[in-house]
Amino acid sequence: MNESIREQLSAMADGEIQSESTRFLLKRLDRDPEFRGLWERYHLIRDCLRRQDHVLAPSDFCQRVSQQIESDLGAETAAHSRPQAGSVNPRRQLLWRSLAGGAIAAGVAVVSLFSVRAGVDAGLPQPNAAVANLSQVAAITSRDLIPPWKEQSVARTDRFLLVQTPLASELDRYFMRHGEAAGGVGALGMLPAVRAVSEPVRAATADTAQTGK
Amino acid sequence: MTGCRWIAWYAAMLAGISTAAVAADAPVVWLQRMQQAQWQRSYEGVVVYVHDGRVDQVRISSRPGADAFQRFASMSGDRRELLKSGTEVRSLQATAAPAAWPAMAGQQRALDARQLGESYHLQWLGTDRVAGFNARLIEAVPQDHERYGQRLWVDQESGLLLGAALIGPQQELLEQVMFAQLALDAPTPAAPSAGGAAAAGNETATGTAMRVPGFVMVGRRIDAARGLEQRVYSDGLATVSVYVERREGAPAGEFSTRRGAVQLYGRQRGDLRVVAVGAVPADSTRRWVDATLAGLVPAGGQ
Repeated sequence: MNESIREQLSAMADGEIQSESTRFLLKRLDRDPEFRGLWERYHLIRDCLRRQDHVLAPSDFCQRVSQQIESDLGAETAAHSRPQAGSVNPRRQLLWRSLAGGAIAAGVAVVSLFSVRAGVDAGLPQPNAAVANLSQVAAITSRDLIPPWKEQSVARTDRFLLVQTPLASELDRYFMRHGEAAGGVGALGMLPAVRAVSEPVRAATADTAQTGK
Repeated sequence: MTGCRWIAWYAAMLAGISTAAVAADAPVVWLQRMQQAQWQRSYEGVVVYVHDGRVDQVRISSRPGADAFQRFASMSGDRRELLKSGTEVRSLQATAAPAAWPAMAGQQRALDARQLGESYHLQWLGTDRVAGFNARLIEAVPQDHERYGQRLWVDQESGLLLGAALIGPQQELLEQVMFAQLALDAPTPAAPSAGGAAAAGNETATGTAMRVPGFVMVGRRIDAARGLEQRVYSDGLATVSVYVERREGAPAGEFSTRRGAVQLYGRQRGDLRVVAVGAVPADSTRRWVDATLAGLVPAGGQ
């Protein structure tokens, strides 16, 4: 696979390619597993950069990894079952084999996890579906580079049936006026106003409402 | 004077000096000093605000005195600014039209040590260094579930608040604000007014005696054009605003949201909407609304 094809595939993953080239690449994606693997890796890289939501591995993930390790070790054991003249100490050989097995296990787990992660992504590994989603993918912004750590969750907020919430601008007015007023009354001066001017986190679950009370 | 009397007098003097020294170094005295510093010191700086898994930076300019001016401008995300100049407040936002409203009058109210002591247990946590300033760290442990705990970094020299962390009931960090850069000017004389106490007097007239312990009303303003009344309550550290608003035709119901650790809970009943906002537990904001509605609406009404 030459570098030009790789670049075109990368451009398609970023939604920056002409439709003529897209058709050619899609055809190749259909028939070339190696090419498809590269396509998935590009998406994985993009998702990592964008810090998109983590997807849990399937429930049989560990089992599949274990089976893979056993089959690999089984094959290796069979290949070395006949002792050879001048070979090293069997105990040491066993130790090295165990270490090698551990390394294989780690490698298989990482590769499997990434494969699963890429596979369960929306639109993958179906190339057409992925292309359809590319138009909805926004460019990477500085917000995507924010560290993915979180503090402890703030106090529990009861969940209600979402029916109607006052407009965000209405809610914002309450927060702003509170920030300004509270800044002068307590001992904490600037703190409430700092909270008020910081950009609100737009979480879908943040605003809740119910009617009829 | 006999020898025994001298010894007794000397012991009494030592005890008196010792008590005075402890009192001057008590956390509550430092909190009062911190409040005074914010009324007297001009400063400019940038604070880092950590909340909801993100880090925001806010630039602050504050100048007390006769020509008091404050500006809070977000340096990350969408543009958001709060400007307070004299008796007027303006908010500027990238996603909304500019808004202006009158500043809350007579709201500087000196910290009441006794009131604070009822709501928090204050203790020293040690020393630290913030934005190049040597700070003492005070912890305020809440005495009930109506408020969060706080850790406050206070500049040893000026008494200015350098940082604050809000601590949840499981000792978890809810949010944190810390100066990353700070420039202080010389102190400006400023004195607290008695406006808070006067405003609190109005509360009885509205028939809404507050039932959340530890809080007293420290400010009140009425926006006649919108039919909106804002009442501000404080226990010295935590502050809650309760809005009472005429909203005709709005569907009855309740709603809640939060920003960082600031909770908002509101309820529409008939033509009346009551909203509570504050950096207090969510259940507490609900109690504020319940208490306010109970005072406003007679049993069985609306």
